[in-house]
Amino acid sequence: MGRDIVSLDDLTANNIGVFKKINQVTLPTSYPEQWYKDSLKTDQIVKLAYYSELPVGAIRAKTINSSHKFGSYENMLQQQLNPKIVPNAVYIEVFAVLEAYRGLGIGTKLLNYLIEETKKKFIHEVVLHVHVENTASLEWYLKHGFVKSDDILKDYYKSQGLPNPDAFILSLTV
Amino acid sequence: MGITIRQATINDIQAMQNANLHNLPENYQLKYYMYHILSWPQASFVATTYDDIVNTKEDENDEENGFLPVVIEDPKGDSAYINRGEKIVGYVLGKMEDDPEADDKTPHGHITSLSVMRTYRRMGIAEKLMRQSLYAMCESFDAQYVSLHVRKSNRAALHLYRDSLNFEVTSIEKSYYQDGEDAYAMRLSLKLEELLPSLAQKGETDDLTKDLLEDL
Amino acid sequence: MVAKKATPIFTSKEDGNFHEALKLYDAKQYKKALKLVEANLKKNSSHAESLALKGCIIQHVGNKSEAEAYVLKGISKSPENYLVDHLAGLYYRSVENYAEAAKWLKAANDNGSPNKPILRDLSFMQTQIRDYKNLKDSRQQFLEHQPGYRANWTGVAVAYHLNKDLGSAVSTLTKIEGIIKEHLTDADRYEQSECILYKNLILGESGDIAKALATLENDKPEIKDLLSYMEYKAKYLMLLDRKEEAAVVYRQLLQRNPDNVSYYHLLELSLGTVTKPVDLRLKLYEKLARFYPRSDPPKYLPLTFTPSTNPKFEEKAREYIVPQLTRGIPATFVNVKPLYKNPKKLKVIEKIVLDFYENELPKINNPTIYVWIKYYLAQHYLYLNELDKATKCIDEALAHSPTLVELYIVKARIVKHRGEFAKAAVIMNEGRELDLQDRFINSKATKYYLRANQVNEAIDTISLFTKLDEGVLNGCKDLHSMQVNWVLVESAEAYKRLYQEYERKLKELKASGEETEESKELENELIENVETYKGLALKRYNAIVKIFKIYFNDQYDFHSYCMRRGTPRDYIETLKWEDKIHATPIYTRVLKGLSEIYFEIYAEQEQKKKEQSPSSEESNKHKKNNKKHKKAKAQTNKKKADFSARVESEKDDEDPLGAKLLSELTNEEGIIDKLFQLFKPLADEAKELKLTNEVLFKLYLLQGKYVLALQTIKTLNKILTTYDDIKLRTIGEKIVELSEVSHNDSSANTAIVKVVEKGLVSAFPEFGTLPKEEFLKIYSK
Repeated sequence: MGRDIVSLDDLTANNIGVFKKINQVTLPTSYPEQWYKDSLKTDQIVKLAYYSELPVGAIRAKTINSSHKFGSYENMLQQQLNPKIVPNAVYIEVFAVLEAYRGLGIGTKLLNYLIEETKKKFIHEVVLHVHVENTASLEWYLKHGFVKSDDILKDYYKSQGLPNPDAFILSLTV
Repeated sequence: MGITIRQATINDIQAMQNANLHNLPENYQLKYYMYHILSWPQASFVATTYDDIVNTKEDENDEENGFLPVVIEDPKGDSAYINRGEKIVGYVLGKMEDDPEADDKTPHGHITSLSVMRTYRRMGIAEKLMRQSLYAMCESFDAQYVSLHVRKSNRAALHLYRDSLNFEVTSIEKSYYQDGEDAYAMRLSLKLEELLPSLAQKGETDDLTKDLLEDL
Repeated sequence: MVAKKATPIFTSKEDGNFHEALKLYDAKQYKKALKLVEANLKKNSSHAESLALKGCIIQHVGNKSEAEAYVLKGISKSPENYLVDHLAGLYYRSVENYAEAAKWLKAANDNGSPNKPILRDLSFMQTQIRDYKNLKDSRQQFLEHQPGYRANWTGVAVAYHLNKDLGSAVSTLTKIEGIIKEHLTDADRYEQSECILYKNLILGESGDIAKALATLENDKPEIKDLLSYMEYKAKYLMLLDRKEEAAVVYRQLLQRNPDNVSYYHLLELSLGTVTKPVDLRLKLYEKLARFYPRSDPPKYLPLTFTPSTNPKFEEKAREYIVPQLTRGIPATFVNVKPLYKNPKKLKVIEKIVLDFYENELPKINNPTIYVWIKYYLAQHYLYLNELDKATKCIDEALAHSPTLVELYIVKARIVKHRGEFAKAAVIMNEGRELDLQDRFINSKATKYYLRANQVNEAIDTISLFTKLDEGVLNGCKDLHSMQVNWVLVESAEAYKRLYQEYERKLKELKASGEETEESKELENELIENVETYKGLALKRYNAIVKIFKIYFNDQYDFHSYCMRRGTPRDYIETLKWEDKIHATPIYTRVLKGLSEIYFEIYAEQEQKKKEQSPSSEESNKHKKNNKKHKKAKAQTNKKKADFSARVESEKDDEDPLGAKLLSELTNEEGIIDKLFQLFKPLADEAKELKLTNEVLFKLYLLQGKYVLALQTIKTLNKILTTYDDIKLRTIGEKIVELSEVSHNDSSANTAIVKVVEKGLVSAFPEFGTLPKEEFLKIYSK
């Protein structure tokens, strides 16, 4: 068809099921219905990635102020930024690519999109949490320029029932 | 593939209505299809399967297939079927602009509806249907251009019209659809000599004079 | 309608009033017209024109059920008054009784009405009721009245054509062509082209092919539809055995449409290659594929004629299938499935796909191809009914690419194949949720819910794509007005399965012999459910019968429109199509379902008749039940109202649950006649269907029409098999049944019984020579 085999497209009310499905099969976490509805709000950075017109990846991020600490995953999800506080970072909530479609540049494309969006907001930092045992992801982020902070967030994934619930904090300057 | 494309006839309209109802939110009563066929019989086309035509005919001569005599069953009670083994999987419903109030009096065509069953997509059926309809509108009705509407969110259709068929977006019509979605109004100028459907395939040209069997 | 012009002096006050009223009626001022007419009738209650006009008026603004009585009264007072006749004609037209309308319009004309447009209206009615003989006269007379319009000439030609008077049709068309030649404007060019092609079509039908071809060539400059021109020309050349010239035209046609498979067949016929060696044909198609590299037939057709033993088959099949798999074409399997009818070709194709999977796939860095192959294989194993293998393939595909909607479609099909309808619906719905914008997957989910008898879920699902007027609960009404036949028929069938399920439970309960308070309550509930769902099944089936009445009436406007528009060729096709409309798939499916319910109710009625005479106790008990029943009903009234609102087929539906339909069938006599009336159109239009003949056989047996029953057996035997020597069980059983029923019928005419017996023996000789059991052993396929 002459189109790029990897492409990005908007999340809409009609394809939100795809977003759910990708999260379901790749992430240990399940999100409430409201969280998905909120994904359509304009203050979110959300995008789906397609490989050969098949949806295979997704990213969702929001703006935060990094001086505010999040003690746990739930806490993170519910955290609404006080409008008075100026955001200084973009926090990646979800970044998923179907297993069979990794290593094809899909994640890179999503990340590049995120970086562009971050710059548009005059923000220079992207942050996220990675489960300490998820070495594959960790390596991927490090390869893409993320830096691991020395702190480890204790029990971050505790409510997900993961064996070792601690999380690394990663950040990227853009 | 067992898909054939041909002009639509009145015998097809029930199955066209069926395909439309399966695929699209914009639907019409059967009389509207009759109106199309009986006003612009040349402008509408269908894509159908042809299961049985080929096989019973070819294989009867074929010694290796000791086909068992079969008990004939009635055709499936499925409104997609026109005949045994002949099922409509896509259609284009075309018309000429006939609104006496229309501003533009130059003869021009309009695509009322086009759809292909999801399970038959990616084979270029929609494009082929369109090329047939465009050619016929231009040839039989002197259509100078053809216009149509596309949902803003319909990426596949947009790709077909803009990239494959060279349509241009002329305007965005706000809340064109019943559910509130905007439409792109698109248009393509028609020149008969450029529209011959086989030209789009960029194959060798049959010069029509050489004996087809000569050098085989 | 316009009254006589030259009647300045009225013979009576009534007449004066009447003409005034008529004017008001024409201007649609019905209330005022009615006042005048009623004043007339007060003075003179038998003023025929006023009576007839009153009928027409109240058809628009009054109590419709009284309208016909007034019209009839008017007619009876003065049947030869052309104004009365005309009004009667208008009345019957407005109630779509075209036969009566034609009768009275004709009477108006015959009785001297000066109003010539009556003839035109009459011609529409006559076409509608297929009275072609009289159609010719009315079209002809109207042409004489208004010869200045081409449409009227076309109308006459069409009438001749329908009467198979091809010569007169052609000469009429030729004559107007000559008259109009000098006066054509650009706007007439299309009509001119169509009329010329129409003339040519009739010439072709008349059999003088050489003349048809010569005329076609001569008229070519006038023809704008060059596709028809070429198709006619090629056909004529073939018929004239000028195959070389025909081949050139087919090549031109291929340039126009290289995706029309029939052109390839016809090209081969004209080239004479069909009987030539396969290798030559393969080379021909290779050449055609170079001309049309993006068309399917030149790649696909060789697979149909190349034997599986020819090594070329595997090569060509691979060239055909592998690119489709790598391009991720969902229909790849469906595309090659026709070849599966040949088991050897199936094996070759299986090998190609598995080969590719094992040896080529690992070298390709595109994960989607893996999915498409698994998707293919799942369908392949489903076709072979190897469900475990099919499940394994589709599950692997789903684990790999769970966002691909197509996978859910096949997965659901496999599960449905196992008979797990509810589970299949859940899976299809999972697919639907991935792409809410796509109506196709929505339709599939709707269908699967219906198959699982979950009608509410189905209607809620499809309602996401229907028009929702304010205040309605779901799209049920819209499904009716938009003629969504597939949903209506699937709903009817779901309701039918539901009531049958409740009937089964009811039978079980009765068989258990339990007589507690609780079991009574359960029994009442079951009875109510049976009634509700049986009524709904009838209601939905009837909705489609109604829609087909609309389909048939839809042609009405075109009797006039097509003459003016100048599309007589397609108009003729339309008439033929309408003449066969009841033989189309959905309608026959509806009649099949209806016939089953009708026969069931008939059997119940017969059963009741048998039971009723000895035990009045039984019916008493029933009454008591009913009383209770009513009480229970009151309690659930609210629930029922909600339910009714969800299933209404139109606004203010008077019989949302089909209860009236059901009680009319169960409580009135003549259900067999009613079914016979329903099947009458099929007896004409779908003689070659198994369904038609099987139902008619049953009906004839019940009606004691044994000779006709014999005929249906013979027809069935002919249509059910391609070879007459297959002896089918269903035929054998019908033969025995007919023989026994006719012999046991004490009221039957013995001569007829003998004729039937003789007929059976001569058509099925073994029946005369073998004892019944032996005979049935032979007829056991």
